[in-house]
This record gives sequence, structure tokens and C-alpha cells, in this order.
Amino acid sequence: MAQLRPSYPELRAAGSEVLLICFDTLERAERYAGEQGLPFPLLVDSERRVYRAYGLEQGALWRFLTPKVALGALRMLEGGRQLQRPHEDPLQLGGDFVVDPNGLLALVHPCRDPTDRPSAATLLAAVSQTAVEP
Amino acid sequence: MALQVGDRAPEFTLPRVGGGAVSLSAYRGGWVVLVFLRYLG
Repeated sequence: MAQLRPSYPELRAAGSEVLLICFDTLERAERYAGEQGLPFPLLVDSERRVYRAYGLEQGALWRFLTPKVALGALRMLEGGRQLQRPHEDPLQLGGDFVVDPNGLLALVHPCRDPTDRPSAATLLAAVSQTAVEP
Repeated sequence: MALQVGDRAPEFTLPRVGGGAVSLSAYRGGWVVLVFLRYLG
């Protein structure tokens, strides 16, 4: 999410809205949004019905034990950040989707492991497509 | 069956931090980026 924040003005300028979805409690999400001053709307799916509808399942444990994931954790430590403990379900994977003006999926990216997220540039390219007529 | 590009995006209505609820269909006519988080942080 942090990597998306600098691109938010561009994404908005391209005519898109960015919706963040979490599965935390509404209370924790409200506290987090207040602390971070999020520019994006933050939605709460505590029961993870929408996660399931988009095919975002819980990852197998081995997906969290890859060298890439370990390297990411090391980089966070080097950067002085504490490793944050995922709340409630550390095996839940995220994902990114782009919906076109007709309500059809233009980009589908269920994360294969915790570091597997499309870049902001990829998302921007997806919303900058002009082939779709609303 | 996993979702594919070109499939209709599953509709949803979820509570929004700050009050109210948001439905995906409210954004019809515009592009929407959905970012499902693993955790807050």
C-alpha cells in the first residue's frame, strides 16, 4: 500500500478510484486510517467474504518461507522498521484487481506470496487503457 | 474457478472507515483499483 501512495494523484488523474480493503476490525481500521492519514477509501471485510469472492485464499505456509520473503523481512529490519505481525491470520494473502468502466476485470493479480504485488506502474498502465468504452 | 481478465468483477458492499458503506457498482463508468491488504501496515 505504501508504494501506491505516491501514485495516487496519477491514478485519480487517470479517472480511477483506489479502494483499499482489509479484513481487520472496523475499530482497528479506523485507528489505522487516522494515524496514517490515508488518501484512499479504506473498506472493511471482517468476514473476508469479498476476499473469497475474488479468490484470495489463505496461502500455504511454504509460500511464506521463500528466500524472497525472507529477504523482504531483512530489508525491513535494515530500514529500521519493526516486522509487523499480521493481525489474526498471517496466512491470508492479498491481491490487486483493476475494474474497467463496464465492471469487467482488466487486471487480476492474486498474490502468490506476501511479496508478490504488482507495481504502481502496472496498475497505472491498466487504468490508462483506452480500448474500453464505457 | 479463478477469476480471469474479462470476467465481471464480483459485486460487493462493505463498510467504509469514516462511516457509510461503499458498493463497487457505485463506480460504474470509471476505473477502480481494488487493493486487498494482508494486514494494516
